[in-house]
Amino acid sequence: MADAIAGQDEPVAIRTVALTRRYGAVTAVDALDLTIRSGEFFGLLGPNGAGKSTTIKMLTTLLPPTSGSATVAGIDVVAAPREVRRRLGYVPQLVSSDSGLTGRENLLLFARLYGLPRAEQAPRAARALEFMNLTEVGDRLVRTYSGGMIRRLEIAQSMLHRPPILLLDEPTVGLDPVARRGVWDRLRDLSARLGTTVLLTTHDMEEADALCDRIGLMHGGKLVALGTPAELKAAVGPKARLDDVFVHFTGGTLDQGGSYRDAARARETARRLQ
Amino acid sequence: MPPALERPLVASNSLARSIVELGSATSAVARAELRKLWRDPTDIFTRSVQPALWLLVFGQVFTRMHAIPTGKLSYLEFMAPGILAQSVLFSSIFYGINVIWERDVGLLHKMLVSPAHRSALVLGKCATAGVRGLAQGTVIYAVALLLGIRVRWDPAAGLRRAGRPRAPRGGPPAARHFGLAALPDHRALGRPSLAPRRLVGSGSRDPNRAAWRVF
Ligand SMILES: Nc1ncnc2c1ncn2[C@@H]1O[C@H](COP(=O)(O)OP(=O)(O)OP(=O)(O)O)[C@@H](O)[C@H]1O
Ligand SMILES: [Mg+2]
Repeated sequence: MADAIAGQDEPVAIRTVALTRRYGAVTAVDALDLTIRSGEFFGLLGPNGAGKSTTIKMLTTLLPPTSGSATVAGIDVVAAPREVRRRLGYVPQLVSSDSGLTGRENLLLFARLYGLPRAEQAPRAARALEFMNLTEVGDRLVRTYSGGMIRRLEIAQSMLHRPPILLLDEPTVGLDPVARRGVWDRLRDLSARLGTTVLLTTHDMEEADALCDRIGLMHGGKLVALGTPAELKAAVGPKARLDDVFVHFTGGTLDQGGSYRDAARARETARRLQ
Repeated sequence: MPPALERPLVASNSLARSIVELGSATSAVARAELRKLWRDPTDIFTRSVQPALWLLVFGQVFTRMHAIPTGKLSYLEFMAPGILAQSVLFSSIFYGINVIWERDVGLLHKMLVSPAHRSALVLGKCATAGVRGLAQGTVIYAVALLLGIRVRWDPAAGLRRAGRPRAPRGGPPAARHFGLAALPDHRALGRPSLAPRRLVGSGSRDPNRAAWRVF
């Protein structure tokens, strides 16, 4: 992480330069310039189809950019994808735990995939369960977990190798308020205790407000606003809430963008987590 | 959590290291998959129902009817190797389809974002598919034995035979090839041919019930 923002000492965790991704005629991400500092809790906000997931997928090396570049922990995602993957934790939008395994087995699977030393696999899995308040259900099949437990397990899975950067795609979609708070709580703790840089996407204003140091508002593949929650609110009006900011910058309708596919996917995710 | 213990792993580029990593990632995937199979083996039995029915119903009925000329073999013996091959093949195909079904997409993405070699995912699943296929094959074997199909317990014979395809006529019955269904032995497959030449000649036990009368 030698890379640093000009004029500042803080190292950069993620930087994109004119990052673009097209699907045929659709430009899902349009020349995105974004810099996220190390240790920052950053929220990428936007309506359905804004290009949040596509951005995350390019940062996790799942999708190659059409043009532009991105570095994660100072490493180019196209030039050295495997090195990038070593330094990342990723919680996809879709459920990513194996429902036929127990929580502990899911953790051990990823401990092995990340090549953790054999002697450390089991103790780390146990500590991860403890950290996520899952010790009691650790030996139950994931099939029997609630949505909140699954999300916490997924976060544990992606943090086993203690990556400096954690990417989460809509981590609380489909969760009830209590479960959602449970997830927030764990994420805050992670970021505070380990200094992990967190980038999450959401369409939930409350979530962005509660968790994020800075917010980037995306619409139609472009970044339309960037700043701390307080700055964004102040820019819109004296008594503005983050919902107003969202409506102000995305053109007043929550229905713009987002195809049937997006809606179907979002619902599918929500349904699976129930 | 002492931070020193939790630091990210250091990259290594040596070939030997990379082979070891591939091996351990493959075994990680295979172990997880096999654990699921062990925990819930019903799938193997439900997938065995259809081939078992083939043997029990069609096999028995056609054997009685002598409708299809099968040389010296009973129809049951004639079709058993095919059923075996088919059920092993199908169990592998359906298992493979699971990987691309939506159900596993999130998990797949997460695995693809780990530094594990991507081929480890494929190899691990292949190993599991192999075990499932063998388990399935065992069930079919058991059914076949119960039905009194003669099995030749000599795997090496297949290799010898494969290297010597033009064996003299009057050799052992093709039923003995049951254990060798996957091997290309044209004698086993060719003898009970449905070619009309055979039917007109002495190939069929009962020429009055030639195949085309049935179908
Ligand atoms: N595989 C694909 N093929 C074609 N178009 C796609 C594909 N994936 C996404 N898109 C399109 O790209 C745009 C951005 O999609 P993306 O999934 O990044 O949005 P999002 O901000 O994550 O939305 P959501 O909140 O619904 O998850 C959408 O218009 C979507 O229809
Ligand atoms: Mg998305």
